[in-house]
Amino acid sequence: MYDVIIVGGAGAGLTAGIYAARRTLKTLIITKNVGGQALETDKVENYPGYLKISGSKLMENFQKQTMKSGAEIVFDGVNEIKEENREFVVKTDSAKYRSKSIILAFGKTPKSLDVQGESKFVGKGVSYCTTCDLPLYKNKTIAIVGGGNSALEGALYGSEIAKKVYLIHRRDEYRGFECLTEQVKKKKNVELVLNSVVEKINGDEKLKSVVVKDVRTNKTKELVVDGIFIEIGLEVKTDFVKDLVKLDEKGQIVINNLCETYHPNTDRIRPGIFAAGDVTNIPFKQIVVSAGEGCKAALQAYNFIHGMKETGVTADWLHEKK
Amino acid sequence: MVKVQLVYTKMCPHCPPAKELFRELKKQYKFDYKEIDVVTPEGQKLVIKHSIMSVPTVVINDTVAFVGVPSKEKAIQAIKG
Repeated sequence: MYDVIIVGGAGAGLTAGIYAARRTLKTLIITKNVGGQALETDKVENYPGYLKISGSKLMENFQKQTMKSGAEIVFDGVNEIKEENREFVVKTDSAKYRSKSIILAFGKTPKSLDVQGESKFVGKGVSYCTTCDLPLYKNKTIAIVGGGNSALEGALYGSEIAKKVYLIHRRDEYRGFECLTEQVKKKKNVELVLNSVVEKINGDEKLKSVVVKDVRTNKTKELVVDGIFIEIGLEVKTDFVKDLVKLDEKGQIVINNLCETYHPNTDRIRPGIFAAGDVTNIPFKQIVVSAGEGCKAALQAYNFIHGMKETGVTADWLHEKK
Repeated sequence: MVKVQLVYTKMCPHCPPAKELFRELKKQYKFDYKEIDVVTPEGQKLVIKHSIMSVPTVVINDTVAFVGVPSKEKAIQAIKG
């Protein structure tokens, strides 16, 4: 039996793990991966304490610190969380765990295009992670779909690796930072495909081409590519907790300023279940905010477990773990 | 002996779970195991040879066995041959 099970292993979940373990709570983090969306960022220049660090290095440091604090990490997918006799039962793909409290911190996942051929070619040419899979496309032709910073950064990175990059966006201009757009426009091997949407992904064993439609003329054309990277934003996948906690209209978990959750469709606090980070309805999706929220969720879980009604806890730095 | 090559990139979120799975299995089963970064010459050779398009990819006895993180059961089955 754990004191707290944290679902998710990125900025919020790992920080919650550090704080929970330092409070000597028996802590388990269940996550499919470590780092989440932060890994997509090549340069993080706004995380205090680091002038510049890659997202992957920052998350690696988070993980090391979490494990050093004493939290356990299990790589698995959570399918169901149930409350039974004042305990929580967490079912994963391969096991079942019990805890006194839960912290939901599983962030957001990349959106899919929902077009023909997309699911068939995942791992065979369709990717949702430019920073992960682009090195596999050296001297090849790729398409990147999206108009935000992730797509633009992907196109810049891709232009250095791939032979040719098509940057496909449904609007007439990209919505990412202007400086990024300008850099992309200067790249000779990046072709801008604006006012266009992907209609179909073709191939046999592997992806061979994508069909794009011009939204102004409805004319279609086929682009011969080796891979397509989908960078059209993120969504929360909270279906498995919809009967457990209150969600907002975007499907985000509704929390108060102590990271407490509510019973579905009510304003009654859901005791023992806390949430933090991008999966919640907090307004700013930043690593530093997620980390802060993860800390709050862990401290409030500690208060819950020890039956403390007051929200205050003593200064953490006075409690060095021996 | 069964030869397992795990092809990864540094920024890939699903690669650490795959590494951990095979490192754990290595403690219980006998097989040759190597983790290979795609940016190395050895990694590039494997990428071209097997047309690898996503990571993590697990090559077992010179054949692509898994793209993504396999379940423990499937991984055991594969390394047992």
